[in-house]
Amino acid sequence: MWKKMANEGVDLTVFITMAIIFIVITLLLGWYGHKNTQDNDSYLLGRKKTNSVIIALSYGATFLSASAVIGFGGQAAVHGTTLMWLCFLNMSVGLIVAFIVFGRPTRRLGKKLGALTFADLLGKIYKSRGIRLFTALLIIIMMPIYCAAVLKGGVNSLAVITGLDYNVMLLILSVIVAVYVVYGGVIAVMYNDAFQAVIMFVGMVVIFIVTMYSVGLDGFQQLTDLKVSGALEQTGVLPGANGWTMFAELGSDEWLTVVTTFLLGVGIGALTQPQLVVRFMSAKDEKTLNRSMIIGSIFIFVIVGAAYTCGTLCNLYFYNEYGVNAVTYVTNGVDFIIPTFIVEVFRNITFGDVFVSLFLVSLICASISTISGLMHTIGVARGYDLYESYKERKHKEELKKSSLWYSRVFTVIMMILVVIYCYLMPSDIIAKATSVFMGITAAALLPTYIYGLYAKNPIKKAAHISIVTGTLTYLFWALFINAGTSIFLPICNLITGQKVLFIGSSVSFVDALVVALPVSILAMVISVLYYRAKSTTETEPVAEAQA
Amino acid sequence: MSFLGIPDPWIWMSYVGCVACVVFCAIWSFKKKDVEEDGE
Repeated sequence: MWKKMANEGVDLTVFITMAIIFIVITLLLGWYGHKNTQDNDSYLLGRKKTNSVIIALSYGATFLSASAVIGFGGQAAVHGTTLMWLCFLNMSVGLIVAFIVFGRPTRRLGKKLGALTFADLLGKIYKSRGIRLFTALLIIIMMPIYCAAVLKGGVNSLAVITGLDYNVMLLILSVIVAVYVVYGGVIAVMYNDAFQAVIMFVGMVVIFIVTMYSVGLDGFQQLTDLKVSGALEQTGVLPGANGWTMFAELGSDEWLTVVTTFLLGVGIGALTQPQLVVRFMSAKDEKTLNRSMIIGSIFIFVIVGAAYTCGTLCNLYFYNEYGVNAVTYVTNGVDFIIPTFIVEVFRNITFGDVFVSLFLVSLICASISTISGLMHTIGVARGYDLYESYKERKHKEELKKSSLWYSRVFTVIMMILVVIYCYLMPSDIIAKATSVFMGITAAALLPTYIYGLYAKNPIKKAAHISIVTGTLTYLFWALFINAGTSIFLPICNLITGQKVLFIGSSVSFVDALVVALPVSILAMVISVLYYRAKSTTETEPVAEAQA
Repeated sequence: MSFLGIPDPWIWMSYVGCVACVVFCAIWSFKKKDVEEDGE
């Protein structure tokens, strides 16, 4: 029924024609990357002269995936415009703080130390093979889950809307990404990101205009009135929700879930994304980073702002058309609300089928721009960071041989693993998987990263303690306390027989990051103070503790 | 106080905040004196 209904809004000829043009351009940019990739350095960081437009669009497109548009757009349909605070955090923390506080010193230190990846950078700052290995392992273990969630979300929507086979779509997208990442390296990834960002931008602008045209410029007022009069109820939310245009009751289950999981979990987690840190290191100079901020801010505002605004207002559209809210109308799950809305809203307008196809291509762009950045990062974490660390340890000498071949081979292997994950993962998981990946990287690495960037003589042992404390706290809270994340690995259920330790308690709605990050920061501060005090009271400095 | 049809200031302030971020980025991008190249 759904498939039949959705297909009525999609002209497959138009979509396939647009998709073929898109694939050809993507592969051409992959070839361009390949021509300009001579060695390991250029495969990992490009030619280190990337301009501001490419940096901004690549950063934005990698940062914002199908997760932002479909996953969190769908969550906005459920929880309302509170999600716009995530847009604000994406811009203020994910862009402004990331570029000014982290980007500039990252580029400077990366250049000074000759670092080529995020793991490499942390390892060289602290002169610690352990930190480099841990960061690489965290990427290899956790990033494929996030990657699979993005891929699955994009392909699921495409398959349902077009009626094309899920397996075929998954295979095609995976092969396209693998080909241009493996052969073109980061140059192909970044140029494709920029190209895909332009398509995403146009697509979201069109969607926003058509949505406002459909529901009216006073859409929020209408939605508020409907909720207040009791004509339209907000369903699928936790106790404490006050409607789509009102903040949830402070401290309620709804408030804790939205604020700690969606807003803070993703908003702060963006700072330690290895695939984004590489963008800073590939910039030509600091002027380039500064210039790229304006383009990045407009891009993020339009893509995320439009997704969350349209996500909320689609409730009004579904009410006007069918008398129900989005969650009630779209029974497939939250991740299908935005795709369903797009097909429906464009059905009755001129060139609607062209716009639906444009949205579908935008969806492909949003998915593969993120996946390509992630796959490149995963591949080099294994092929460069782990391989080089192993060779250095074994031969006790600086590695001369290029690990380029290994990075390429492992990118392919990990791509296959990601596809397997897609079949194993449950549905409706895009937003939560994004939150988990960003949360654990922030809890484990954020204090170590910022301390390493700004401390003159960063203390290695303090970083070790912070990383271990942050990681263990996050894992314990995510697997045993938080009801939303314990489903990923039901260890608590196996040990105790219940889903989480405190069922029904408010703490089961608190995201792990909100607890693990302060603990990790505290561990770092106490360790630094302890080792500094120790080094001043002893006659000899604590050489082993200092990097 | 309602703005854009949104009655809760805690919600509509997020839109204001986003616009402020764009303005800040514009000022930073075009007005800020670029620091010396890496202190090199």
